Amino acid sequence: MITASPTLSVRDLSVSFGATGARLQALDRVSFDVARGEILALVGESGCGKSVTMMAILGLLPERVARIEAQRIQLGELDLRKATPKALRTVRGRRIGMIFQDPMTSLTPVHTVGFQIAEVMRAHQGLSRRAAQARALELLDLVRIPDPRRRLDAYPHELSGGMRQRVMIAIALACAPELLIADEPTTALDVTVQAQIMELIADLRREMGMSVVLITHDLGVVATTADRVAVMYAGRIVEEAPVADLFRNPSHGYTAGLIRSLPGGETERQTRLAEIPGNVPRFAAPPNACAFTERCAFALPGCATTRPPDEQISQAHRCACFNREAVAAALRDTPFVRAWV
Amino acid sequence: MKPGISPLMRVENVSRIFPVGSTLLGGPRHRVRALDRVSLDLRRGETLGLVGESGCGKSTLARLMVALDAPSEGRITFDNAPLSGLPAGELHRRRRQIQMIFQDPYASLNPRMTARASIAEPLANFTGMGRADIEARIEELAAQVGLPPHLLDRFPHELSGGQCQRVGIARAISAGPDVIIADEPVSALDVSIQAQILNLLLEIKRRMGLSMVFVSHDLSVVSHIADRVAVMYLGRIVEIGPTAEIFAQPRHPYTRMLLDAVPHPLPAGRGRKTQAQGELPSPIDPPAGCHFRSRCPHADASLCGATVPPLVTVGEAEIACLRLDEITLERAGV
Ligand SMILES: Nc1ncnc2c1ncn2[C@@H]1O[C@H](COP(=O)(O)OP(=O)(O)OP(=O)(O)O)[C@@H](O)[C@H]1O
Ligand SMILES: Nc1ncnc2c1ncn2[C@@H]1O[C@H](COP(=O)(O)OP(=O)(O)OP(=O)(O)O)[C@@H](O)[C@H]1O
Ligand code: SF4
Ligand SMILES: [Mg+2]
Ligand SMILES: [Mg+2]
Repeated sequence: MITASPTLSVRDLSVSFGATGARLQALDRVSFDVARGEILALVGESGCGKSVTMMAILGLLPERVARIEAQRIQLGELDLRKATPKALRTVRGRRIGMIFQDPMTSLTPVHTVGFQIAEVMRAHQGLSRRAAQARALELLDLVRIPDPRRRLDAYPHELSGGMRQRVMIAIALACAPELLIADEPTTALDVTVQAQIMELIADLRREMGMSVVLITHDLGVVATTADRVAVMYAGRIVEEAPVADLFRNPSHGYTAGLIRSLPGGETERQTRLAEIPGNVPRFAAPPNACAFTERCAFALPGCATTRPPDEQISQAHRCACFNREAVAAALRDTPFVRAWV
Repeated sequence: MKPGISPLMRVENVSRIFPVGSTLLGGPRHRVRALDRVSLDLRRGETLGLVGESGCGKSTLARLMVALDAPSEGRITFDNAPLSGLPAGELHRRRRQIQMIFQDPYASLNPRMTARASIAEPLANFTGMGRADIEARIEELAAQVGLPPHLLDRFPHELSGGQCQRVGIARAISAGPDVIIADEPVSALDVSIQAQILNLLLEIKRRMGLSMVFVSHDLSVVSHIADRVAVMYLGRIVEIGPTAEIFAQPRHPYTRMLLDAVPHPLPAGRGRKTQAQGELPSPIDPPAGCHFRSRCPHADASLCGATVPPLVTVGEAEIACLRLDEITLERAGV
């Protein structure tokens, strides 16, 4: 893709945990870029390494147990691999905003919402108390909280889950970061509220021109909100494409399995869904194999003995699957629709 | 109801009221009507889906239907006999006939029991089988739910979420129930495991001729598995009817908002604004009249604030909305 330099660029990021000898490989050569102003979704099941990817970038993994290797972790002009802990703290407050699944755990119960937003700005931007308060009000308005003046004085427990998540977004955006990392921001919320929060994130991205990494396990959310998707399985990115390409032309055995197993699509009501056999791996895939081969309907003999290389299918679509042509042919234009359409 | 066939279970005007925020001195300060005069039938052999947002009362209703809890008002019958106030022996028999599957596959199993012991428990409690028979039956059940026999001697923490859920299902079907109440049975599972468990439930239901209540907040899943769907909002049923009809032609404004909020497929729906407005009001102090009126685009303050909408039959569905006729006409472009 021909773009200006990306906001975030990651090459061959590997992370392992534990003592030497019994190390758990959590990430295995993960690479991706987030272009300016784009929403990149990172999808995958529990334990596949989505959060570890972001924690590694942010320098938030416990140093004693985590070993991080990378060719590149670049935020704009800044090499995050070489950043000091102090520099990283500044980056986290000013240049990268973060929101997590459960807003209650990230807010302090004993302070008002207004105080907590203002604190972030006082700490990172050195604003005076008055200026910070005024900015907090603007931010609550920005995240479409009704009656923001009154909410400044509310405590987190007085707000609904959706309102708390809006406050978290306000805090994340307080310093107008160039990158927002949202780790399952709507998983704990109801669908009607989820729809509103996703819309808010998409609107703010446009208004503020920031980049977003959206971590989720919900392909529906991906389809609605993201520009590009990276599909992760067992510590690796197995396929990456613009959203429309991924759903029109899924090319990895895992992506295909996921799309086919969803209710709706081609499966008639109350008939068998195309299930993916086996279990989600708890341990790292063997280095010389496709991580998904044991469960894959398209596996070839070579998939268990060689790691499939990343291949470019089109300019913006890459995939690491030895049988990607057969996968794409079998799945081409599989309807990905709501089950009841 | 089809003439001549009585429903297997019947929920009649059931309310469940919980005291909340009790203080030491003053006693309960508030009451939550988790269910507010709910009526519905579970027909023989059907799967009834129960949907609605967090806190609308789905689990409360599920627990009442398996007699884990009793209604504050109204009654529930099974085969025309009341479910609550049963003498111990009767209750025991009912418990065998109505079994539950829970959301959290780990928490619903005893962590100190192997899969084998977990499955054996209801067999020993309910069937009066001898030891050898029980052993043989466990292997049979394991095969039925797709649990490899070598996993039978493992403890829950040594099993995956999907495997634990299979153990939970084996337990639920072990004593030959007539009804299974499944409360979010796939919500805690990984995406790639959900289809496995849904297939298993469909198969078991068909093979054993069970009736099932399937609680879920995932509308795609309910649309796939249920024959009929009940949509709940703040303790009340707002719409109930055949699955295909509810999803193709939702009539209640809340049902429409809910279906509309589900992320859109590509590419047509992208960029369209959601219709969803506002959030659930507090269940302690719901709006008077129609509970949905604070978020309803069609609400008429004087009408909808004054009357609790009754369920009205339209074709095979029932809808509780006071302005249903106007809304239907409006939609038809009249
Ligand atoms: N501090 C740690 N020490 C040891 N192992 C860890 C640590 N943090 C994460 N892991 C392991 O790394 C793997 C990836 O975890 P990660 O949290 O990134 O998953 P995830 O994709 O975010 O899953 P989820 O969807 O459940 O949030 C898991 O096997 C996890 O157990
Ligand atoms: N034991 C209890 N004591 C007090 N309040 C309760 C109790 N059980 C449920 N409630 C309240 O009753 C209402 C309905 O709860 P219920 O668990 O049935 O909702 P639900 O539809 O199953 O929600 P979810 O989708 O979150 O599981 C909620 O307001 C809840 O807080
Ligand atoms: S009764 Fe009134 S408020 Fe309730 S759904 Fe119908 S129009 Fe909306
Ligand atoms: Mg995570
Ligand atoms: Mg529940």
